Amino acid sequence: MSAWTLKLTAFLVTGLATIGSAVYVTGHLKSSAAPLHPRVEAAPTGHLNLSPSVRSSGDQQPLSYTSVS
Amino acid sequence: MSPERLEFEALDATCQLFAVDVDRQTLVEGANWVLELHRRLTRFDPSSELSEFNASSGGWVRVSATLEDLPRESLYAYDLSHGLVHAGILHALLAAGYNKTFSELSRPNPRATIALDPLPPLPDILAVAPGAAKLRPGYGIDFGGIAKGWLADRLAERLGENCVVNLGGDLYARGIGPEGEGWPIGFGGTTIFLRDQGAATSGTDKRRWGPDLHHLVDPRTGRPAKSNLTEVSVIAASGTNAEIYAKTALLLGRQSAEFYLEQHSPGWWLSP
Repeated sequence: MSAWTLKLTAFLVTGLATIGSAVYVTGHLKSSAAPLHPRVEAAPTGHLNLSPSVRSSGDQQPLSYTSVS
Repeated sequence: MSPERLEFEALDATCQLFAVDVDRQTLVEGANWVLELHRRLTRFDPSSELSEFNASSGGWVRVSATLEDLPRESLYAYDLSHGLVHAGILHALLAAGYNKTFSELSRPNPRATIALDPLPPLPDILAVAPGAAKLRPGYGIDFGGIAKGWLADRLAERLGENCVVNLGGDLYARGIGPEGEGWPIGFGGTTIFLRDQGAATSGTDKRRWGPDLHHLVDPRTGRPAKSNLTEVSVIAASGTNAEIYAKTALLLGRQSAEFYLEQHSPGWWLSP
């Protein structure tokens, strides 16, 4: 097989893949109105004030929590 | 290190105990201690120690060590809150319709419209001496959140060097926690690490049974408080202090709350 044949084949495969992907993506646009899965809880509204002596982490899962009872 | 954990219902709320290097039996005994004190301190049982004290109003009566300590804590709370945390609110709560446990209070009480006067200073209606206490006629005591914070502090002393006692949201975290960096506690939408500290939340969105009817009585009016805050969480040196600061801040409202908390707390959460 000649080098030109290989180059042409590679060009055609790449082109078809690009065009195919574009057609698929255009036909499967995500609706911006669709709900998120899973549902994201709204962040609590309020004002948090922590002095530097209080260590905090937004990543760590709490073991327990303070709450109104 | 994974702590031992126990969850149970008491004080009309969900309670949690966590402890490192403590067996489950110790936690069960701790829960039983809370349940026993709940039975003695509830105002909803006419035969409880607190109800008998409220019914005996007038002269000095002999009281148990617990019923000596809690009135002392109540007077301390009154001082620390500049009169806003007031244990002598029983009749105001009854007048507002809070005459059953909240789980039984399914709908508004039609008689919950009684206008009350401001409460007199707590030291004018409650006095404590070694082994005895005295209540002015016509008034009653409801320890409310003070009891939760106080019980959390006391139980943490019994559970060992490394534990968390959370009694319906009022908690005390003792020791270095399971990983040595403090106990991770949910607070105002983030996680904080508490070590030998308490945290408590006071709010008006729960224990509400009608428009403007909730369990936080403002002693300045004798009626459920009207505040521009609905929820306040506070960190303090103990569960009792955290409860006192949180309730005081909520009753003060946003502007004064921040000024007050700056004097007392290393961290707080204010929700409008």
